[in-house]
Amino acid sequence: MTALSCPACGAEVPLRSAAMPYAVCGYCHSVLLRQGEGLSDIGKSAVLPFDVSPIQLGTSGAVDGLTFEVVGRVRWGWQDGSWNEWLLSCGDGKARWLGEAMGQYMLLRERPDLDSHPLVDRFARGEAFRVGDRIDDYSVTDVKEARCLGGEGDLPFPTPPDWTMTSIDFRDTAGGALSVQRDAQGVMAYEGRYHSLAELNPRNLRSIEGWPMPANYR
Amino acid sequence: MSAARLINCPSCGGSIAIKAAGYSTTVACQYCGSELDVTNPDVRLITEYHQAASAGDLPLGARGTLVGTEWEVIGRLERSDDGASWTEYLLFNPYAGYRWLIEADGEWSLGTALNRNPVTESDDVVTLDGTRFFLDYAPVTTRTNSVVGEFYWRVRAGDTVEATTFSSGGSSLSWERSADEVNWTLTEQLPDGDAVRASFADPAPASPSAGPATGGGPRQFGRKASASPRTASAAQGLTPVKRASDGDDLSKMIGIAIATCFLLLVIGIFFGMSRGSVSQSMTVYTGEPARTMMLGTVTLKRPYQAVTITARGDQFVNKWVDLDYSLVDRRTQQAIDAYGIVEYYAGRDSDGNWTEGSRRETTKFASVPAGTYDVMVEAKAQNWSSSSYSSSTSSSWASGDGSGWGSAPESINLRFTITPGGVFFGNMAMFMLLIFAPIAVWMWRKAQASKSGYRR
Repeated sequence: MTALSCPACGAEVPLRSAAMPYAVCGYCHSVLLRQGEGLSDIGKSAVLPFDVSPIQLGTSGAVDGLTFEVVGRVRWGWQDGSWNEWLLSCGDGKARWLGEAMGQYMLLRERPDLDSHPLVDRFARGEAFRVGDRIDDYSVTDVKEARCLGGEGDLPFPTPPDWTMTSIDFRDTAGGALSVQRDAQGVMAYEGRYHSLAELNPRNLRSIEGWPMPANYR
Repeated sequence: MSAARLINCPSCGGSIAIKAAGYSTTVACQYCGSELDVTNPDVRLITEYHQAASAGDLPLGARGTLVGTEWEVIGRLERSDDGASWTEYLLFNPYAGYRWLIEADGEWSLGTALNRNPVTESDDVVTLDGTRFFLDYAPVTTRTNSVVGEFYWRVRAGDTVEATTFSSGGSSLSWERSADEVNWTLTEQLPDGDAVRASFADPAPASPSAGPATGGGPRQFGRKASASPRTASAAQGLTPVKRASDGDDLSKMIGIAIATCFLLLVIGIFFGMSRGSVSQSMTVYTGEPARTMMLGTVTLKRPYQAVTITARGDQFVNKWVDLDYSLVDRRTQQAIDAYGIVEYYAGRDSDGNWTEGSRRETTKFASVPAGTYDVMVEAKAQNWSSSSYSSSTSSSWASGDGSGWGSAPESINLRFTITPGGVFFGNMAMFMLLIFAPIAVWMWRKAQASKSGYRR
C-alpha cells in the first residue's frame, strides 16, 4: 500500500492497487491520473453522496474459492434512485465489479466476447432493450438511464460528473446475472451471479452506528 | 460512520433523519406528508402535501426482530387494486438489506425480493426451487395510495404497476412490472400477527418516577416517611426550651441556609449525575464545507434532564469551529438544537503575547424529555488569518474556491463527550441568593430596629 500526495490539496492519496491508472482523492475529490511515479490532476470527480452501504474500500471476501478486495467504487444515479459499482481486485489477478442495489449484490466480470452477440450489437447501434427481452436464458429485468454521481479509490477510468450511460440488467432462473452498459464510448457486457452479502463472506465491512456488526462478519 | 444524515423538510421545517441514506431516494416527511428527494445533497421537495401522515400500526423507526434479524421500519405504503387494499412496511438492516412486511386484513407476511426469476411452466404455473406456484388472478393495476418514510427508489403516491400473485400454501410469489423494471418477491405468511406487532412496538418511554409512590418504593425527598404518627405523649414529652437569643437565631438561620445550599448542591449534582457518557472523535478541515456526524446515542430515563456535550480540540491556534448540535428523538424524529464553538487565538502585539478563547467548550441542553436520542453535530472549521496574510492571492493550487496558500485546509481533531445530566450552576447561584436574601433583609431590619430602640 503506497501513498502519494494529491497535487490539488496535498492530502495523502493511498493507492490500493498498483494496476489502476486513476485514483480519486478522498479529500478534495480530484481525479488523479498516475504518471510514472507521480500523479496528475485531470479534473474533479463528482462528489460521492453520503450513503450507508456496508461495503467500503478495503472490504475483502471470498466467494466460490475466489478471494477479492474492494479497491474502488463508482456511484450511479438514475431518475429515481442510485446504485454502487465496487471495483474488486481478485486473487486470480483479474478485476471484477460488484454491483450493489436494493441490498442485492451482482458479482460481474467483463465479457468483451459478447459484443458480437446480435442483440448486444443492435444495442450498441442504438436500439433499446425493453423489460422482458431475452438473450439466451437471460431476460431483461431492469432498464435505466444513469448518470455518474462520483467515484472513490482506484479506478481504471476517470469519473466525470457528466458521464451518462444506459444500463440493462438481465436475470435467469438460477441466480445468473448479465449487465450491458452503453455510453458515449461504446458498449460493454458483464456476466456473473447474484449473491447475498453473506455468500460473499465479507470481512472489514463498514461499521454503522446503531447497528451491531453480525458476528460472522467480524 | 453513522447511518443517519440530518435534513429538514423544506416544506414544514421538520427534521428528518435519513436512516438508509444513499440507498434511499424518497423520504416522506412524517409531519406534513411532503415527499422529499434525497438523492441530491441539498434535499429537494417533490410534492407538498401539508397533511399529517396517517398514523400507521407500526411506527416508523421502530425496531423489531423477525427470523433472527433485527429490522428497522423505515417506510410505509398504502396500496390497493380493484379488489383489495393492504399496507406494506419497508424493513431495513444495513447488513441484511431490505424486506417487506405486508399486512392485509390483519394477516401478516414477510416479503423478500428475489434476485432470480421463477421458471415459467405455463401461463398460470411457475416454479421456484422445485415448488409449484399457481396463478391467483390475471395481472391487475396496483396503485400506491400513500407513502410515508423512505424507500430505495423514488416511490410516489399515485404510482401504478401491473401486478399479480402466484400461491402455494402459505407462500406466494408476487410479480410486479413497471415501465423499466420487473420484480419478483417471495412472501411467507407470519402466522402470529400479534407477535409481529409486539416485536415492532415502540420502545416504551421510561416510566417517570414522579407518579404516586407506592408502598415499598424508594422514599422520596419531601415526602413524609410513613412511620408511625407522632403521638400526643411524645409531643407532651417535649420540655419547653429556654428562649434562644436573637444572635442564636441568626447563626441558626445562616446555618440552616448553608445546610440548605449544601443539600441543594448535593441534589443538583445527584440529579445531574452522569450515567453512561458517550465519546466520539471527528476531524474537520478549515475552509471545508460543514461536516455532519452522528456522535452517538443516549437514552434518557428521567421525565426531564439535562444533557451536556463537551468538545475538546487538539493543539490548534488561530482557528475556530462552529458546532451545531441536535438531539434527535428516535421515536418522534423531533430535534432539539444547541450551538457551541471552540476557538483559540494567539498573537503578539505591543503589550507582548496574548491568547484568547478556549479549545474546550461545554454546551448544555436543559430539560430534555425522556427518550432515545441520536446526537448529531454539524461542524465547520474556519481559519482566522491575521492581516499580515493576504487572502486575495489566487494560485493555480487553489482547490476550486479561489482561496490561495493563506488558507490551505488544516485539520482540527475534535473529541466530543456526551453526558446525560449536568448541573446548571447559574440556577444554583440564584437559589442560594434567594435563600440568603431573607436573612440579609431580616438583618437589615434588625439593624434598623435596634437604631430606633424598638425591640420585638
